[in-house]
Amino acid sequence: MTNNPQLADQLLAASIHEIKNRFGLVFSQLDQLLAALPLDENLNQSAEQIKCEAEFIGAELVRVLASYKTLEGDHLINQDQQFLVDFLEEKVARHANTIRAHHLNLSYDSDEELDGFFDAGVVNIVLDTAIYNAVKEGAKTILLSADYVDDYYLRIQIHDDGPGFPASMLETDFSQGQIKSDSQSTGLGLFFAQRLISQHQEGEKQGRVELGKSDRLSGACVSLLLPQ
Amino acid sequence: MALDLIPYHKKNVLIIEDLAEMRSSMKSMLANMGVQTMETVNNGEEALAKLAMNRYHIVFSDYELGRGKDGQQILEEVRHSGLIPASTVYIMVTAAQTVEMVMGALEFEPDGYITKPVTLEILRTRLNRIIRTKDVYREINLAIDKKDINGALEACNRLAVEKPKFALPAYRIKGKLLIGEKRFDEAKDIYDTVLGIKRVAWAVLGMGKVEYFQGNYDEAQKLLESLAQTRSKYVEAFDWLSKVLEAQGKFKAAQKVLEQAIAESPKSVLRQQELARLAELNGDMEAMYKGCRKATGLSKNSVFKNADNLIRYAKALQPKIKHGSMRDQKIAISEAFGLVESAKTEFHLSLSQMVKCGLVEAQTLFNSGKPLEGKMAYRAVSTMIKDSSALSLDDQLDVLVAKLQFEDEPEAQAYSNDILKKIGGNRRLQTKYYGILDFHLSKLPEARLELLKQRGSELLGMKDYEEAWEVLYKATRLPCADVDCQLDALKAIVNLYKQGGRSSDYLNQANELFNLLQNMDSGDPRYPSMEKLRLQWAEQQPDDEQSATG
Repeated sequence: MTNNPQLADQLLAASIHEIKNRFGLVFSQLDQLLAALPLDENLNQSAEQIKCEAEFIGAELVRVLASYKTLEGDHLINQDQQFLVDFLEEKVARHANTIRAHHLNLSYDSDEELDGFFDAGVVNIVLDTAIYNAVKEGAKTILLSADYVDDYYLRIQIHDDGPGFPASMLETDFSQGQIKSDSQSTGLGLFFAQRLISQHQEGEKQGRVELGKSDRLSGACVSLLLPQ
Repeated sequence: MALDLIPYHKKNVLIIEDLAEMRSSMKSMLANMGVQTMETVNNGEEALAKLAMNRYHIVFSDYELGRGKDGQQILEEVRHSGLIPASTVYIMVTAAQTVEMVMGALEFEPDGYITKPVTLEILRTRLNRIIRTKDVYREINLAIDKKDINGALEACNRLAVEKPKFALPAYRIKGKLLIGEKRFDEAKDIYDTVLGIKRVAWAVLGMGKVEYFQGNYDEAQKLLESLAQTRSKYVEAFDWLSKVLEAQGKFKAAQKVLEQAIAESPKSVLRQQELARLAELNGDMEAMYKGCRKATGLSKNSVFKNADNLIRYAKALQPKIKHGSMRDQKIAISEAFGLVESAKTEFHLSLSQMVKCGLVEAQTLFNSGKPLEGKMAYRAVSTMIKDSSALSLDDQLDVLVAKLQFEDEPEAQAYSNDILKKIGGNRRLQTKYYGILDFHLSKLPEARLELLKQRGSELLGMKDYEEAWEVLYKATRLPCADVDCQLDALKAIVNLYKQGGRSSDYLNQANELFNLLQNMDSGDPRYPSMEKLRLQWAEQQPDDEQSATG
């Protein structure tokens, strides 16, 4: 048989694209359906869970597609000026279902005047990855923050009150794609997050993702550093 | 917070949404926020009618509106025609799948967008934010609405100084205003400044437009191509790139680029009209017909409806009238007459337009089997075409079509030779000229074959292998096709491949031709050149395709 990895890749990408679009349609129908049903409190909580999971799947498909494109090398990013309060405010509003399903306390903190240049689509994907990871680890409070750090990097951070990253993860060099088996899915997500973010370049400076301990909450902190 | 102070009870809102449930859910959410005056419509036509009648503070438009216009088209049309003031807040409501399209709008961009599913939290958050931001541009928009462009430019400058965060958006508006005023040098300064800070898409497009207007086509092409390549859905970059290519005389390439834009975003009246216009210039009847049909379907009650497009559509219907099924024919005939009638009654026509109307009427009659009536209609316009100086060469080619139908052979021949001389080395007009002759001979396959063979070998001589292939491949499809035209066609495709022009269609079509020639007698004097072509063809195929089965 012919071994044609390129064709197999294209097949997968096209198929995922189709699934993503169809799923979007299913999700909006489902949302209307659930809204029209009279549900008691218990069922309502299940409905919230379903909505949250559906949103997760949608976000996951978007992420897989974008990650796939970075491997192909054809995901050229599009940087435009973004106002951080607008951007983060919408991110929080978008996660209304996650908040309800997991009784999450999700908030943001950014200077009203703060702006920066980045690809909103890409940063959205990475923020979603980080938020869903934190929820999976059991976080109940998540804080999104933005500020400027050393020499013109815009820093967007996701703080949580979960258990924090294990020491082994903090030592992992994601840029090399080394992933320990016990943290495979999280590790892979962060590996691709790094790939996506590193496409932000400005002169010699390159975007990167850093993992650490939060100084605002008790758990983990993921930092996106975007050169300006 | 100040944001709760937005007086929603005083706001007049229009909701454009095709789904009934979505309409009522938007209404109840807005009512929840305090809005008291709301109207809803379910399509673009109704929206335009409402917007022409009333003033709204806020317009919500769904992006995907089923069959008719989409939200972006409504926005372009209302902004283009000044149907809504600059101070109206226009918000696009979009599904996740179309966000990229909405965000890709660089020229006619909405004030904001809300992605579905829309919940009360999201609506409240986004709407507050969008209105607050819109308020930042209040002075600018008021000046624009008063048509005080200098005032608006000054307001842009003030905003950039007073609120540095909004400096770039202020420059964005300023650049657009300056282009509108044809103050290109100043616009260029603005875009230079912005691009010095960051390579943002709207500034690249703006600079591309300025370069185009100033006649620096190479520069414009470079900028616009770079935008077109960034995988984001900047369809406007394709529109302008097409203009630049046309200005450089690259008509076919211009059409191709526009077709790409249409594949992404098919619902723009202007874009479809442009495609039809370019297709007419290229003599591409099929694309012209499609463009006209789409544009006409989209432009009912539209400000973009115009005489040229009506006449063009009537012309594009001719192949259907001549060759279509009985039913198609009947519909096309009444449609063609209707279009001409509408052009004549609704618009003030120029001489060239009147000639075209007359010619297309005559053609319609002729092609529908009424040669005598056609001839009479032709005679009626022929007095107008005595003096060709008022007619462009494209118009004269239209006249040629009529001459071929209605005049005696020698007269038509003389006109034909005369035009060919005037056309000279103009490749676009040459192609169109031969297309017209080809269409005229469509019921005489032998004569057609000769014509195509002749043109094909001319093109081979000029080394235009792409067009040679097109013409010669057409010849090979005729029932009377011979080995000579098959060999010439293969010569064209082999050379086209050597130049790097590849496609899977070509591949299959060429292989098919080689198969037809498989049984050629080895004693045939043409056998060696066929074998040589076969070898050259094999060399052009990548290794993996040759060994695909291995």
